[in-house]
Amino acid sequence: MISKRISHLFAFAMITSCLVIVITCWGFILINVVYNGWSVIGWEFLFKNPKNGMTEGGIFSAIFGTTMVTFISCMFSAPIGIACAVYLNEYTKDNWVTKLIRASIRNLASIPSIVFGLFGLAVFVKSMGFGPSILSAGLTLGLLTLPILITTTEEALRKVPSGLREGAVALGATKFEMIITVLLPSSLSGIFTGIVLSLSRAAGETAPILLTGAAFYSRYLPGSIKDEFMALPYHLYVLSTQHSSIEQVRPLAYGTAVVLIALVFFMNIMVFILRSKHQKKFYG
Amino acid sequence: MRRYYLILFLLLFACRNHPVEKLIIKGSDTEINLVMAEAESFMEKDSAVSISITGGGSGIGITALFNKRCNIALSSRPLNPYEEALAMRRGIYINATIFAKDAIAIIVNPQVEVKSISLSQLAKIFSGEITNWNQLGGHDGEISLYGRQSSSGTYNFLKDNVMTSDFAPGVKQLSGTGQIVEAIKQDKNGIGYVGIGYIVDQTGKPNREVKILSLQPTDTSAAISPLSKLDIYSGRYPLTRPLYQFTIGKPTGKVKEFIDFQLSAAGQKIIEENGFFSIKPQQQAILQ
Amino acid sequence: MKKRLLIDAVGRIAFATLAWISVLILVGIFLMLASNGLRLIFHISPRELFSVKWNPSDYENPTFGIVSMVISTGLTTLLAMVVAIPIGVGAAICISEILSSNIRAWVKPMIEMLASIPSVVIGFLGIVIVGPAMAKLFHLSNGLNALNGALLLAVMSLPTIITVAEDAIHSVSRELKEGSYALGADKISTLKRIIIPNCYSGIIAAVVLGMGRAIGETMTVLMVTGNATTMPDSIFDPVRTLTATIAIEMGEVPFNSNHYFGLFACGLILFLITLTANIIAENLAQKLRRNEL
Repeated sequence: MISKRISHLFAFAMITSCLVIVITCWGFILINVVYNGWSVIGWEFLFKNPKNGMTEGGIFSAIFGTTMVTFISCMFSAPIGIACAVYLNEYTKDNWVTKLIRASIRNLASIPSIVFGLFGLAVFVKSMGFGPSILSAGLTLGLLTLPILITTTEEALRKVPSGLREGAVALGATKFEMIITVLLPSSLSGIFTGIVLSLSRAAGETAPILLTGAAFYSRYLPGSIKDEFMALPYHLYVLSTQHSSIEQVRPLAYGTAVVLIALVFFMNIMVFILRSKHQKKFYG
Repeated sequence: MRRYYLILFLLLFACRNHPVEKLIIKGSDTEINLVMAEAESFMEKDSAVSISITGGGSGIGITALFNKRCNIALSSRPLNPYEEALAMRRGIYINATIFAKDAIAIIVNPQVEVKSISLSQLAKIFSGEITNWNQLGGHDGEISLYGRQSSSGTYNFLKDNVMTSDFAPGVKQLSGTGQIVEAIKQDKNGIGYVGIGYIVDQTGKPNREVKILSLQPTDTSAAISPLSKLDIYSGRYPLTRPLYQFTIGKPTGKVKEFIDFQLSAAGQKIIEENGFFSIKPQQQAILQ
Repeated sequence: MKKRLLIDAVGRIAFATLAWISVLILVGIFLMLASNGLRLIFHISPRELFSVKWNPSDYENPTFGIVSMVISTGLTTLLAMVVAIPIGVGAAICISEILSSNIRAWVKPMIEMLASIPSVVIGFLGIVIVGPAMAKLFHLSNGLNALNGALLLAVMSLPTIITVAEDAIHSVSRELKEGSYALGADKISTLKRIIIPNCYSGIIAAVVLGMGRAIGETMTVLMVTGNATTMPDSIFDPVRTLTATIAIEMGEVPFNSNHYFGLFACGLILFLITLTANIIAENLAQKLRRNEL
């Protein structure tokens, strides 16, 4: 029947056009940012600090600040998150308590990032007295990424075939030894995927660091983790809303956007490579 | 794996360079670019200090000062009664240093035909009573209002000194003065309030992409432009205000050095270069 | 041997402690949100909470009406979903069923990467490109409004929706698909009658995740929606979402003041909205999963 063919062709066209729209939008975004920011990228931009009212110079302090704060967030959330996932997956039975815990973790992953910022301000900056600092911001970002890490680690652990676990125990290993020597190494790439994903999330978030430590301008690199710091996403935010010559610094803003996107892409590509290496190693 | 953690550990300590004293400054969006210029110049001369500046609005600076999260709070308004009471309750003495003068300019898009308005008209525009440019002799277009957020000293200054009722709920509250200027450049019905430093360049020439309105202090007086330095210094332009820097107690150490630098001839020159107005040294007032 | 058993016991305790720390942290976040948010109720009347005017920093007459902000959040999210869901699900179907597996192998990771692009970049482009373009296109005086925010939110939640939906669609078993083809059905009929009905639960999960992303987004809406505290009359009005309110006022609130509790109340409301959406989606997903083959 011809009308059926036509309607099916129409459906086919609609579906394909959806993907085309998505690729066009995102392609436009990326091409626009790279096209406008490319000219600014260079040795000075990437490795020098800003000068002359941030209209010249580079964004090294922002890159450094972002790096430090994501490391701190990882150092906080990785051990706790991995341990939590291991405990939930290996040591506990599947009862209503663990179901509730897993549900809470999933729900807390969807809390808006600004709420974590509010929480970080109240607890780390104020109550614990760390003040606005790399430490406060890092801990806040660590909280933000904790649920993601727990979930991805649990998935990675689940993918390990039970035969590996049982084999180790059969050979006389204690549970702890089995976890350390067999389970974690074989799920390492999955865990690493989770860590890198949470790192890239932490690097790109602005809301949690708004009041927990990010600074508009600071001439030197932060001297310790109790100092304020400049950060890439916050720098882009202030260059586009608070600077006195927004139009003049727009190329720098574009450049910052390019660096941010490149950072995030680089981390995701690392994840991709890790995952495919792991596939080859374990599943032939 | 252990090597990885070791490298991380080392990196954390690697960023400790020569011991510098740290100065944390927070607050007014109006002042932030100006103080950044001052800080850059100050740090050129004195490398034993590291100044970090964050904006957000005068209210944020004052709150941070009360919570001992900064050394200097930049504020484009004086303390309000609530804050004064809080200081008294906590037994804190907040020292105010006036380091510059500012004029608030009312800017509109160049396509708006109106050249001047009175203060009472300004109040009516921002409270939503006057809604269309044709009510003021301009074209037929719904007035598009731009302002700051409630943490802004400029917002509060206008509220206390110009507005007779609340701001209209339809005022768009942007994150910074810079964003207001950019928005009005493109919005043919736009009007907003900004510190004059944001729309004049270093030689005092105004930004041609927005139009600066002259203000009539009363409905019958002459309209005065904020571009005339004489009218600002004499106080004829109605929206002039001092710019403050608050500290807890009298400034000491590096804080005092930085504030003194800003009050010196070199510092005041930077203020003028950024479009604001210097205070003569004799006029430096320490309140309370 | 005893030493190894000791290490095993210590190890178990170590894991348990760290696990309980993380659980307590997560519970603590929720408790703090709830306790600080609910404390607002003790200080102001519910009628005031459900009013329209939000102006808590006015020291003479503070008002705490959250209605206009809730409506603003709802409006932008709804608009964003209206745009993102059809396009996202359509794109997911395309990737899963229409593209060859070679192309799929690199399109899918590419789209996953897009989900990590920071929201400030999108907000920045919203100010610089989308705003002026929208103003020109719709003959408005400016582009800082709910529609701008909604479009950006849609763009940001698309990768999430596409990734999760595509996983669900692709995981419909081959036997079902091939059985349908074997009986003579073409691709579109198979899609309509076999594939999609069998992954409703996954698609709903995708939609809910995307919606959660849109509701919780802060920086993008802060930069492009104009942040006016008015009740929006149309999609071309400036709006202020709950997330933007928290971001804007977080820095100036005195500790333990009504305003402080008010912001936590906003956070609590956001959490309850996403929680409700998650619960509905999970129940719906379970129900649909039972109907699937």
